[in-house]
Amino acid sequence: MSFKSILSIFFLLISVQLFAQDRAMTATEIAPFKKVVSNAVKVKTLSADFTQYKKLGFVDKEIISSGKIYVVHPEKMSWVYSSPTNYSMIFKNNKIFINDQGKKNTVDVGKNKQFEKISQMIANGIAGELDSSKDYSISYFQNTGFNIVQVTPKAKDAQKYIQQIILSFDKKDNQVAEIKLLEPSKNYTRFVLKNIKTNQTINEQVFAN
Amino acid sequence: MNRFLPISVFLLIFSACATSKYPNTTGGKAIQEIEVNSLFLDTGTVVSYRANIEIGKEQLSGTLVMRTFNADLRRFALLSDLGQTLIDISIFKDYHVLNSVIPAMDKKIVIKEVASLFRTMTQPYVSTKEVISSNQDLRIYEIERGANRTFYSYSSIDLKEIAHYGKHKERFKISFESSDNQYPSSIFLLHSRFPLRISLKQQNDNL
Repeated sequence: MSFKSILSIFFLLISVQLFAQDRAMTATEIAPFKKVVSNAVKVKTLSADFTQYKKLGFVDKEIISSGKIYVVHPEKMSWVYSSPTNYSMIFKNNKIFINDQGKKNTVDVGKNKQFEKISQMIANGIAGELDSSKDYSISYFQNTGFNIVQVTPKAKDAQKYIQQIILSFDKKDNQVAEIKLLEPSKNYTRFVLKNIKTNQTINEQVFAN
Repeated sequence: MNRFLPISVFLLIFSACATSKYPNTTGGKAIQEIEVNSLFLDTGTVVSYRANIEIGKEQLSGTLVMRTFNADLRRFALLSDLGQTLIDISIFKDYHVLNSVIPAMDKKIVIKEVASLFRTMTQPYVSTKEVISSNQDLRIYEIERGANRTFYSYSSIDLKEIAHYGKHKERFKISFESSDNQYPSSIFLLHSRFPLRISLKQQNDNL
């Protein structure tokens, strides 16, 4: 479950734009929106260019990284940075295989309970399981272009790592448009995907350790 | 996040022997005041380094972002590759302020050691003592702060190495490459008491 959750985090990362003046959804708006989100996970493969934006309180500009992402849902994912440095992470078999410019390392994801919980929150959200639970609460908002799901962890341990996960779904194509991870310090990271291709064959080589 | 637990474990229980004397030196002489470590003085500039960290058998990588605010204040944030802020700390000449840290790294000894490393790496001090080196290409200046002694080794006008000693033993060394400008292209930190090694390479094209 944890590995699927992790893959799901990245599986639906699609371009990101959040606008001000979000308003809460009504109950009659939430139901059809959940159905749309649930349909999104039927995508089997995804490849895309990604841009990662990191905001630190003491730096005026966002810190930018970019590369390509390849996903075969729910088994594996390859996350390849090309700027500012070459670096890759392959998620498969409950492990993360890291290649840092030729220097290889392996991390056991199953040992990381907090990461697993946070991953599960996101996975449940994009899988259409958008009801609040004992682990997290969910709020729904919308603005002109996006439906927005705010996932807030209830457990104090999880809150020390992440304050809120904000998923934005583009109303035009009903896909996740942005995932924003808000930290307790108010720093955040947001992920944007472009040139998205779904359900096309992906070369297995991109998942080689 | 559990990857950082070994940091605390190693820093708490591990200690190794190290020399108590700066190598290849034969005493010293008093000199007129000279400022040592004039790197990182450009206020307002933000610099980003690719960070590779080895703690015992554990390895992790990410980005170190640094900004010099004024003569006394530098601020650092270490980020994971997926963007998470692992630690955000403000370093002053004589103290530090912890802005945020993930729970796995939130140990007093870890924070204190991180602050000491970054402070020594980036803060200028005034020396009134030159140590005589057997290598005539080097000029080595010493400063004392409390029980600590720090040696700044220069080749021509370039700062090549900082060696920081505690009361009796060497604690860590910091080496610089291409320190012909404000911000070295590469920095290597090697701890003598703990199995900690940090490599930093400048990568400002992400800013």
